[in-house]
Amino acid sequence: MLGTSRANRLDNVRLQVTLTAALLFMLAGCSHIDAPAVALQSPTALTMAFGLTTGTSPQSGARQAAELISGETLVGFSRDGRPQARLAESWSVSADGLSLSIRLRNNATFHDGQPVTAAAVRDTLARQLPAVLGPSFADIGDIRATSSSQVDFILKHRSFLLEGLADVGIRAGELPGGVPNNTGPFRVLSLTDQGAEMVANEKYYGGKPSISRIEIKPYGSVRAAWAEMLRGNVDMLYEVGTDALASLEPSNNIRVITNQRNYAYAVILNVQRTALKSSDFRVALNAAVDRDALVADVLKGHGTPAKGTVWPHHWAYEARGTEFSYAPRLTGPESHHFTCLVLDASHERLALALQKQLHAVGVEMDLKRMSLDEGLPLVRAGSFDAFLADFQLGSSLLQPYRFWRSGGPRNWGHFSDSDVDRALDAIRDASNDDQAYRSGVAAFQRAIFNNPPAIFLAWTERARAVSTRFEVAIEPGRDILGTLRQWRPLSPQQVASRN
Amino acid sequence: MAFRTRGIATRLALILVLAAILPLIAYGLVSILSLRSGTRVSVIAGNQNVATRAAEEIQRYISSHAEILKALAAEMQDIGLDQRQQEYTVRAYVLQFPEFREITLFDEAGKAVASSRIGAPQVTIPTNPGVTFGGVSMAPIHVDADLLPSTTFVVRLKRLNQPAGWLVGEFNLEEMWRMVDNIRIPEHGYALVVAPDGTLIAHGNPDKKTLVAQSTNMKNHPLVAPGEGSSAPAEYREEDGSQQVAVSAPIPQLGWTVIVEQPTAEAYANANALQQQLTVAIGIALLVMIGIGLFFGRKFIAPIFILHRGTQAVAAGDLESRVHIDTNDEFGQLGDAFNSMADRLVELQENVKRQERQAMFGRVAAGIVHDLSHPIQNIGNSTRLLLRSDIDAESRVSFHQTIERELQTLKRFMEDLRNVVKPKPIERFAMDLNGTIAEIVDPMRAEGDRNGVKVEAFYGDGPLVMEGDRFALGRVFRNLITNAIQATESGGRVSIATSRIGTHLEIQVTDTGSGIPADRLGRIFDDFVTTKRRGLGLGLAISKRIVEQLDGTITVESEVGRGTTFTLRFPSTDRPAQAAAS
Repeated sequence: MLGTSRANRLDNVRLQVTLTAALLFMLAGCSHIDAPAVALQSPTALTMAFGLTTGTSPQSGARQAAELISGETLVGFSRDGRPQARLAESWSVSADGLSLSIRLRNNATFHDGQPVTAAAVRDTLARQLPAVLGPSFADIGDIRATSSSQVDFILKHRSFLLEGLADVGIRAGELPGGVPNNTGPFRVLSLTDQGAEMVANEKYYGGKPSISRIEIKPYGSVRAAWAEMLRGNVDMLYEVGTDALASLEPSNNIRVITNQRNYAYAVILNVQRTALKSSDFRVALNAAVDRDALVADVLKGHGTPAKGTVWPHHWAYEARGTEFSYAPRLTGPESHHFTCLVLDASHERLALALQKQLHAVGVEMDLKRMSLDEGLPLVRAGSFDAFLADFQLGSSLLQPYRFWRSGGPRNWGHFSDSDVDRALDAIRDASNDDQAYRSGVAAFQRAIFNNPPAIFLAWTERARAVSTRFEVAIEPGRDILGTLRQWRPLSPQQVASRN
Repeated sequence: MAFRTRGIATRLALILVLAAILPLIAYGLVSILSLRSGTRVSVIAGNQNVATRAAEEIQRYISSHAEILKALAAEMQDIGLDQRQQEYTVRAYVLQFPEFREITLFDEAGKAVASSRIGAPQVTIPTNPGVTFGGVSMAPIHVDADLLPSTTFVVRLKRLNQPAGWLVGEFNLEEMWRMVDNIRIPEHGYALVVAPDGTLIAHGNPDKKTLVAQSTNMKNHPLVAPGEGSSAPAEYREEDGSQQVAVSAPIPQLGWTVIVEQPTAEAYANANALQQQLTVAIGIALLVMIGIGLFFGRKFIAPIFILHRGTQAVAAGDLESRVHIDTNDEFGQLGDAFNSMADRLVELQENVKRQERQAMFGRVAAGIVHDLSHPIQNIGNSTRLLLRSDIDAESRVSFHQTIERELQTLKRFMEDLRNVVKPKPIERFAMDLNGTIAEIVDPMRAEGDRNGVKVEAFYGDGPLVMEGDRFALGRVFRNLITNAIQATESGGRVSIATSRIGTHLEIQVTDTGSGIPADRLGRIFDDFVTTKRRGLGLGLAISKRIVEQLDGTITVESEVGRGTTFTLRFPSTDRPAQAAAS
């Protein structure tokens, strides 16, 4: 996966007595007593299996999961793309859209016990925002800590700043052992190749979690992690492969919880390559993809066709005239050939299926398997024709901005389209104007439809498996990792009664 | 606790049990046993059928995929395909048949030519070809890198009858799990697939896939241990405590065994429900029969209870008690007979009372006549003689003494009668027993001498002091000594002895007289009972009353022809005796 992720979560009287007793005895002999369920170990600790992407270091994999659990951002985004309070208690945008004030929760602390102050937040944002916002960072004139709990942003131009804040984890450096000094409900104790260890943050402003300890164990693959879950050696599977879902869903000991993610499988195309320069060709590539078949056959129904780059649940999403549909047509007599990097073994079948569909329209897409560590430098250097991955394209419009805006921090395919840039800028500038925002989104979708920078395949679904010895808090549209603090370990008796 | 069957109702209930309920229970038990046995046979037959069909399905599943690989191999042998086309072809197969995780074509040298993998192939040409069917070899089940059971299919390629490489397909056994998962009997019965070496390949129970993932070896399973072919059904208890009934079916071509196991709780649920219903029905029938038995039993024996109560009332003296049994059977006749008997008893009792009153009146009258006639006659004779002028002064004195003595006798007689009617109150004083006895015995020696009976007294070591009424006790002792003298023939002896026995004082009055017959001994202290031919028989009754009023006891031992001993006991006291004058 690429990009910063933030996931969503019973004399005669004597005779009568004797005979009645005999009768009761006979009746008792007819009853059955079910054996109690076998109890699991360690009451309040949770062990999570993390299936690594091939080529990813165990520490890197564990860090990613640990960051999700231990870190927090100032704001988050709801399923429909509207901002939600996290570490920030509230915020306000000035009428001209050129200043943003963030008010922090006054009882939040870092894992080292220090309070989360406006100054600390300012420093974190100043360090990390450039990478998140890319060229849009230049729109920020100043970041000020105007009180211990208020951070003010002075903007030169309207910006995706608020959206960007959802991608910046608030951290005050590192704790001894090189672990991040975050603010979330769990504190990282150690981070090694053997995984990560976390403990409950007893000072968490939202209340102490019921789970006392979390251990993240990395495994060589999603399948290996699943096998470990089957063996009963772990309490939670970070990700359940689509092949494994059918085997886990009927289980009484394991609960599978799925959540539609704001990530999409897509093949980013390097538009600088001759073979991929033509927007018509790229439109034809998108039209050649039978997304419904991919979702049904490869993802086994666990996904949604991605008919464009905008998160389809976003409040400003415009469906009319902007969605790619399956309309395969031969691309012409000339040979169309390009190579696609596949950076995750779990994407192999998707790649093969796509290869087959493109082959059907005369496009030869060679597939090249490469580890994430090998592939990322090539991607960053632009040394690729295309590469397949799942990208965070929602829930806000900042994500497409970063991928498709000229000079965007993730515009690895060197895509540049004036209509797209204009539309994205309009969205950025519309901050308080919903109508303008909606118009900007529609224009952006149309521009992408006419000049697609990628082959959009499917919005992903994340399935996580959790032992039934935990009561999982489920909030609609939210990844269960975000509700870990509210999970409750159950006693063996409670588990048995639930089953 | 011993179960006693005293009540007729209980006996009737038990008879009912023995006569009707035991056969009912026996019938129930036989029915239940038959039901269980029949159900087991039916369950096993059904499950065996499922296992056999499952084995056939799995056989077909494996064979069909072997055929798929074989078909692919046929395409691969087509020399017209270039490497790229071969790669597209194997990838198309992998996409179409997800049961193959990877298909790779190897040339004769063992080099991968085309693979469905993007990148380096992960399968190798198996060294152990395993089982072969239809030209396709299936390698033995092995554990893959993720420690899950796996296997590979291999097809040997030939081109122009010459070896031309291998087509190897990694078979995704997890896909086969879905087929095994769909075998449900009906809800909690599952199928297991076991390899020849005991490796568990698939388990239909979603909660027991752990066993597959743990590479569990099933060699010790009751249906795997015998090894060859299908084995007899088995029932066993699993580690979680659930009892299972299981059957197996072999897949001969693969050497695999399909086991279908089902919890007995589910397999025999209908039989258990029927058994429960039958048991409840028998239990209810049992209680109803006992209730009916007790109801009719009680109704049947109610006249006996009425007669029993009537008899007890009559026995207690209530001769007016009658029974009312309104039946026309033998109990009714028995009730009428009881009432007639009670009427007759009342008549007889009235007759007895009348006769007793007449006898008592006669005896009392005769006693009074007898007791009064002699003194009156003596008084009369003495009075007449006193009126004669020819008697000397000495005789006059003698006659005068006789009149005085007989008047004393009459006075005592009258006092006795008065005592019977109105007892004289007892007074208690600390008194010396020996002194009191001596005052009585000494004057009576003369009377003994007149009757030729020697009267002796033996006094225990004193002082023997008791709380008593000297005059009342004097009367008792005088009465006992008089009776003893009168009961003793001339030449006999009467002795009075005192002694201390612990905290009590004892007085024994012994004669060598005729003795009292045993049949009268028990009643001699009753009023108007006497062994003498004269007297009202009040002396001993009055004596006993006085002794008991002084907290003492009086007992008698007698032997006919040898004599009689009266023993009196009184509590002693530590107080000093008051002067005799008092």
